[in-house]
Amino acid sequence: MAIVVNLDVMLAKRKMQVKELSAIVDVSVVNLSILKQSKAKAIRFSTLEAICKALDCQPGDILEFVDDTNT
Amino acid sequence: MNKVPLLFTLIFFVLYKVINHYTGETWIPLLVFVVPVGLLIVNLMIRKSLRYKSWFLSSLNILLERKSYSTKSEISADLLFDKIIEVIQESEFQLLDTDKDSLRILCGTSTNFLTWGENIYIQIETNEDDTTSIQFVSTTLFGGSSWKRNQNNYESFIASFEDSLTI
Repeated sequence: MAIVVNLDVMLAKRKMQVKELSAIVDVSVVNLSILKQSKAKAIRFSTLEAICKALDCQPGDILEFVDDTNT
Repeated sequence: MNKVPLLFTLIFFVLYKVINHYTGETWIPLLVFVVPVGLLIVNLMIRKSLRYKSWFLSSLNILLERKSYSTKSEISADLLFDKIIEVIQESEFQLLDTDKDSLRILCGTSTNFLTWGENIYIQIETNEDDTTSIQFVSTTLFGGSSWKRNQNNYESFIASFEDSLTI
């Protein structure tokens, strides 16, 4: 997957559990887990905004592009 | 097409009256209809449990129509199980029974005067390449033809599932 979601890294930095983030951003634990594993098909800007607000970070802290064409 | 069960009910009623008229006996037409009506009643009583999955999916059960589909996902099996339950709860389907140990889900469409409804059996399995397979079987509760409802159920489920992956 070319876009990697580093949500677990930010959660660890902010010492927050997935359950807690789920309650704040109103996204289910299941969906956050799918997002964490980079298995989501897309993310809404509203969701990204809510996550960045809750974790006090930038979208670039959550999303990372990995060029996997040469692997 | 959803009016077919209503039409069948009316046809059964008319046939009952015709047989009753020509035979003069009430028990003869009742005997004719007791098997299909009895089957429908039994199916409606046992439809909500995974325990009777083999009854509905048996190839010997020729009075039901079944359609099977398969799709793959990269989401892990345990997570996919919870995800599919979430999708079903937010869709037109009714969640009837689940078994987390064997990763099986049973959901259905509602029964009303116009349609008998369908049962949908979902089985999740992990593949060797770490992807996950979703086996989807939609079966009527009565009738050898679903009038494309089985296919529509699958397409509706897949559409809901794909939409739900936009978070």
